[in-house]
Amino acid sequence: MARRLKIVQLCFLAGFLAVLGKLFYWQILDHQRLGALAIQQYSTRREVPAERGIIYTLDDFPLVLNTKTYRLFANPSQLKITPAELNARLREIIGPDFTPPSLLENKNLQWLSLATEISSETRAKIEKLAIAGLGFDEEEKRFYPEASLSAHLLGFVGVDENGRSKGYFGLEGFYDNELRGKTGWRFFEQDALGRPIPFTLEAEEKPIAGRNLFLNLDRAVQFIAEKYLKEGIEKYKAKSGTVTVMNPQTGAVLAMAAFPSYDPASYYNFNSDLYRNPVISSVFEPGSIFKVLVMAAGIDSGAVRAEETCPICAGPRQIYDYTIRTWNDRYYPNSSMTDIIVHSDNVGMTYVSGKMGLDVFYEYLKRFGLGEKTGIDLQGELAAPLREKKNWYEIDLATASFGQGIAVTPIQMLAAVSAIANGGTLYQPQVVKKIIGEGRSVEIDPVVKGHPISPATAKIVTQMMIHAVEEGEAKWAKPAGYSIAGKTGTAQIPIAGHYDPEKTLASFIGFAPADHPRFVMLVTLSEPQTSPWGSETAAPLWFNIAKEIFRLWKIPPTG
Amino acid sequence: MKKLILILSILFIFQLLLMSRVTACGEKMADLDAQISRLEEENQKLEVKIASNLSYRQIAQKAVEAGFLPVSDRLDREFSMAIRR
Repeated sequence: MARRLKIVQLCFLAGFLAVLGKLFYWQILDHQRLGALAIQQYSTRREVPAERGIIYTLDDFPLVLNTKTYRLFANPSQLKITPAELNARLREIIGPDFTPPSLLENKNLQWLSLATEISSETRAKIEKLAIAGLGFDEEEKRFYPEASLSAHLLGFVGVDENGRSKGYFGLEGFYDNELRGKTGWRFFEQDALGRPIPFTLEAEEKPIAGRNLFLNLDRAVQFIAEKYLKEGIEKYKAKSGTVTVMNPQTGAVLAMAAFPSYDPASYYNFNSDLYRNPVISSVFEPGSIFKVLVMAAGIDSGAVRAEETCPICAGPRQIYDYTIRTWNDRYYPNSSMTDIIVHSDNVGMTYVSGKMGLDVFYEYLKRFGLGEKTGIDLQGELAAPLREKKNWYEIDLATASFGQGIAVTPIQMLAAVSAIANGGTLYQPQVVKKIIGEGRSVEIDPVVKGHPISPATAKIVTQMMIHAVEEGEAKWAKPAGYSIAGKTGTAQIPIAGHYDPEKTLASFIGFAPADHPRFVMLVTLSEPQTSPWGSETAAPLWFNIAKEIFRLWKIPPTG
Repeated sequence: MKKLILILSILFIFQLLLMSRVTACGEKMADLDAQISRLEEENQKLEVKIASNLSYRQIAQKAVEAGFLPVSDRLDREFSMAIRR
């Protein structure tokens, strides 16, 4: 009996020792791993997304807002109903277009996305179905109250290679770091139902909301520009077109429209070629609108004087094997420099560039900012580099004087002509006026890039441009009573090493009121079919938009 | 001994009450979080609605539906009438 008792005692002792041993292992040896497992079980770390910054126009209207949507996902391993049954029940709520992925039958999967952009109302309806194995992830989506207005300027928000939101093109791309903010996190203990337990260990880093952008963009001018450009493209049967409006006194971009365009809310449904903003990323041969820059260079350098007459303007000019003609083959002997601009005389312009010589001409191209980016605060700006000086021949100097054989972007052209409008200062075009975020506000001042010409030269060239509008080919379309300085342009489009006579790029650049310009505007129309000439297509479109701006800004006629 | 049992019993009851209170607080916190989230969402929806109704796109559409004409059209028509006269 005593022996049996001894055995039982030993068994108990062994049992206790085994328990003690296991406890020692759990609490001392495996403490760290088990502790971490326990924390995982009763605590959670949640990412708190930062709200992306909002983009406001000059009148504090939000061009882009954020809305909350949900992604519906399934955990196939927890689904208690068949995929067909799930499909039938969800279709009633989401709509007939809903198609569940075939992977739903794979019970090894833990997470499978079923639908995106689910509204909170739809979410509530789905939750009422109480289907086990379904869940929702919160997502933020950009909302555009003005739909596709200024799509090229805004850009869009997509995802990067890690699936995180990222801005592409335009403002969204350029200011992505400012707009995106910083994601926060929250670490807390939770009960069995996932509710936080108060007075327990809690740590958090609050998210920092993205900064808001306040633009120089005038919403009304942008609306007018887009409306008229759309109508103009239809009316003149053009392939594409742009309208850009800028304040020449500061470089502030007031409107920027380009068609064809896309909808930033559903950018993925459009051809990616449309994402590029042609105002900043397409280069073109400017044609006759370039003449005002060359004339300004000629006068500023002292190579020609305004009252000087052209001794070679009586007929076509021969340079080696090339014959330079005027656009209508009409010639005006002894033309003044003003006449050369008014008649858009190619031969006269070769006289001006010839008097300057390549060195001076090239120097002024650089002074006007050609060959380099303007520095506009939009993602995607391109600049056609200037051909090296050693590769220029006499014929290149001659053709460049009337805007052929040289490439610019619309924004470069606009910035350069702004320097004539404001008395000789080259400003960097700027879309954003100020950036406001948590505890930080940055006002963006105008940036002066140089003084390519003197105020006296700017005044002379402005007068020439006023004459060009009053007496030129587009005078019929000019609004009466307003003093407008401008120049038409019709450039042939180079294709595979030669110029296509059927395809032109019609343009008009100008500013108003000419004595103290409130805006400078460039209109371009690519391949208009009703007429190839800028004076019959781009110019009337420019004047129509200008009329609306005069009315909007209450600018009275002067005469 | 009896006193010790009494003190332990009181402490036990106090602990139970405290735990129940903490649980209630947790529930209230979860409710408040949900309410904040709902209000933020409603606020966001209202902002979107206001912006949509104030957009030029909507205003222009409503003006056309109401039979309004752009000022430019009216002026041009009146001007051409004046020339005809």
